[in-house]
Amino acid sequence: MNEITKTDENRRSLVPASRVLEDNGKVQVRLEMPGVAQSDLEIRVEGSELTVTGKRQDPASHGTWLLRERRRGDFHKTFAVDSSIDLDKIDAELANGILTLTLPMKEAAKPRRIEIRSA
Amino acid sequence: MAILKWKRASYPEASSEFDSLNLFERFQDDWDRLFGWSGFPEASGLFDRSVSPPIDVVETENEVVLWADVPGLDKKDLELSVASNVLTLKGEKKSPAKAEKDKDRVYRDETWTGSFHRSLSLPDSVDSDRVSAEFRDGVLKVTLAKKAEHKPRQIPVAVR
Repeated sequence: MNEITKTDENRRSLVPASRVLEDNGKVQVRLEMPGVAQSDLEIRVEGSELTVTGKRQDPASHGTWLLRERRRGDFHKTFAVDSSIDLDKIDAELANGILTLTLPMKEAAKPRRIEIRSA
Repeated sequence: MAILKWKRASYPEASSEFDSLNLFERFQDDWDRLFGWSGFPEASGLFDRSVSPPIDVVETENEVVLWADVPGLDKKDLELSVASNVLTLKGEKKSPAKAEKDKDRVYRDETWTGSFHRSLSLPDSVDSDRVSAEFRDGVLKVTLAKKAEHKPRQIPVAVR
């Protein structure tokens, strides 16, 4: 249920927009998390689950709202990680509100070229 | 599917927090809960396709503050200008480097790219000469001071 992903009752959890691509034996995941500072970001690996949580400060609570389009809440996303990924070598980088996770594949899982022997 | 008790407590009371957007979000929450969808993929939802950055504007006694979510943009990709009380935000959200090369191996892409151009009318009271902008963690924050003559003033009442 929804409650699981919520940090508390009145705090909404947002799913960051993601972009997943495979590049040269690595899986790259880019998550758009504007407003999340590095200290408010948590990346955890549990079993085969990769969880990213980013807490966000709300803007001013006083004053009159003239426009309100930004979504409020904390970012939360869980990925199921395939066994071909080397969980010990996951790399994370946060720049300009975008978190880039690089998940290297295990050597054994990388595509290999098989040489053909001539008989 | 379990039948859940309708919780009035989750609704805000008629306070400053209450607005139509909030109501819609709560409706979406309830809808998800009703159908037992866990974690509706909000960022890729029907109503979440954005073609320009979402903007918040708050007016306080002394200033008008604007926030825009611009993840992945660099300072040089943004152009901000203020003429009298009209603020214009221009920019380009570029696709990450090497994107073209990797096109055939992108498994999932919920992000958008492209240029945007937005003009906003702000209250007449903003002073276009006293604007400061700050860019951090993919959020642009613009602070516009209000002209002195528009600030509320205390008028002492003399008692005779």
